[in-house]
Parts: sequence; C-alpha cells; structure tokens
Amino acid sequence: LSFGPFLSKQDVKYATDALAEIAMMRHAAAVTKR
Amino acid sequence: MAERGWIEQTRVPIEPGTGLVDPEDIRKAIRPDTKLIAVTHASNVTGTVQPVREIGRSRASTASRWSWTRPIRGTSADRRAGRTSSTCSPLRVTRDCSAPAARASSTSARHREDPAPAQGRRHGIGQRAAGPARFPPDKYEPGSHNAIGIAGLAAGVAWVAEQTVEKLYEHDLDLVRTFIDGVSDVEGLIYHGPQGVRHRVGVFSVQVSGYDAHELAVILETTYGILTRPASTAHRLPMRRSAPQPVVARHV
Repeated sequence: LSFGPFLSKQDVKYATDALAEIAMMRHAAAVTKR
Repeated sequence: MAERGWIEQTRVPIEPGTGLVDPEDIRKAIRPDTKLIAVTHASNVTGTVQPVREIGRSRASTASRWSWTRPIRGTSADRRAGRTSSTCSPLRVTRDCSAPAARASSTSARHREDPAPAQGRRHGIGQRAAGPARFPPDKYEPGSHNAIGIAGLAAGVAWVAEQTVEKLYEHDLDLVRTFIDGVSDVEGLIYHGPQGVRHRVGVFSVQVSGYDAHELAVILETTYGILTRPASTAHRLPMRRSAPQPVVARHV
C-alpha cells in the first residue's frame, strides 16, 4: 500500500482496520481449526 | 555492463531487517577509480529511505558521481523522497519527448494497416521501438502518449510548489504514523522495512499470516474496496539477497 497527499488519516485508518480485521479473522479461524 | 566487462561493480550489503545500507560500508567500497555510486533513495517496495545525505557527505564519495533512483510516476515514495533530495534539479521537459504515435496519425498509414500482433494488442506492447506505431489503436491516436504525462507532471510540480514540500512531508508523516499505529501488535500481521517512522516513506509491504499476496489483495479489493499492488515482491524484500542494493561502480 502507498499513501499520497490526497489521502486523509481516516482513509489510512480504514485500511489498517481492514487489515487488522482480515488478520484477526484468519487467526481466529486457525485457532478454531486446531 | 558488468556482465559485458565494461565496468566492475560492488554491491554493498543492506541491513536485513530494515533494508538500510550503512554509509560506512559504501565508503569502504569506494576505490580511487570509482566513477559512480548508485543508491535507491526511497524504496517503492518496503518504503525504506536510504541515508543519501550521509553517503553524500563521505569525503571519498565527493570525488565520484553518484545518483539515487526515484520512482517517476508520482508515487508517494517519490514525493516523500523529495524531502531530502533538495539538490535534485527539476526535470526539464522538451518537445523531444514526442512519441511515435504522433507520427503514426498520418493519412498514408491508413492505407497500410498492419494487423496487431496477437499478444500485446491491448496495451501496445511491441510498439515501443522507435518510429511510427504500426497498428491500432496507437497509430490513429493523435498526439503523443507522453503529452498526458508531461501535462500531469507540470500540474503536479505546480501543486507541490504551492503546497510546499515541508507541508506535504508533515502530512505524509502523519499518515505513516497512523498506519503504523493501526497495524502494530495485530496478531499475524507484519509490515516490512523500518519499524517506525524513521527512515521510511508511506509505502508499505504487508503480509498476513495464512494468505499469499494475491489472496490478500483480492480480499482487500472485493470486501473493502482497497486497491493494492500484489506484485510477488515478497520474495524480493530486503532480507533476501535479490533486493536492490546500492552499487559502487568503476570503469574497468
């Protein structure tokens, strides 16, 4: 991912929330599988 | 050039975790006959910013020409890199940038239409050679493809000058800080390059445990509407030996 000057902090926060959500769901799925 | 025996070059190692080069290592690699020191200033893969100022201060390096490569299409890496490369001259754009497409719009070409090759038809691959474009759509397009880029560059430079580099840098720094805060301490999520705002620009390569780059990109796009570049660059990150490394080159 890369940021340009037209992005806002809210835009970046949206991306990090998305990544965190993906990672946490994957982690939860892996734990359940075990 | 090295393969052809025209030059000798020394690839200077980088610190695996951050992708940073030690200016002292560059200094040690410089010989009396060194002609060029080439460094990627801001990585468009990991966001690592090399200490070009410190490298440039080296007494030995002042006797050599040296350059740092920068992305040219307005990536944030390029914009941010500008904060420390104040000695870079603005690009000079001349009319010599005219593209073959301009000449391809002549009426005579209409009567000698070559079929487009099966591959690369849509993207003009194969039309890069000098001379008129031989097949559609390029051959009928007026003007030059470069004209769009030149106009965009001029508008971009004017905008940056109006905003000021310092102001843009502060804003980007804010975004980088926001990103790092948002992804830190998330289980299974890592980003490569320097772990902090120092020595980096707002370009991040991330990995989520259990997904390869393409899978992650598809989820980001289809579920969240976030477009990324899932190039298989993970195997080329700094910790691997094929990452771009500063080069010290000499004529043989």
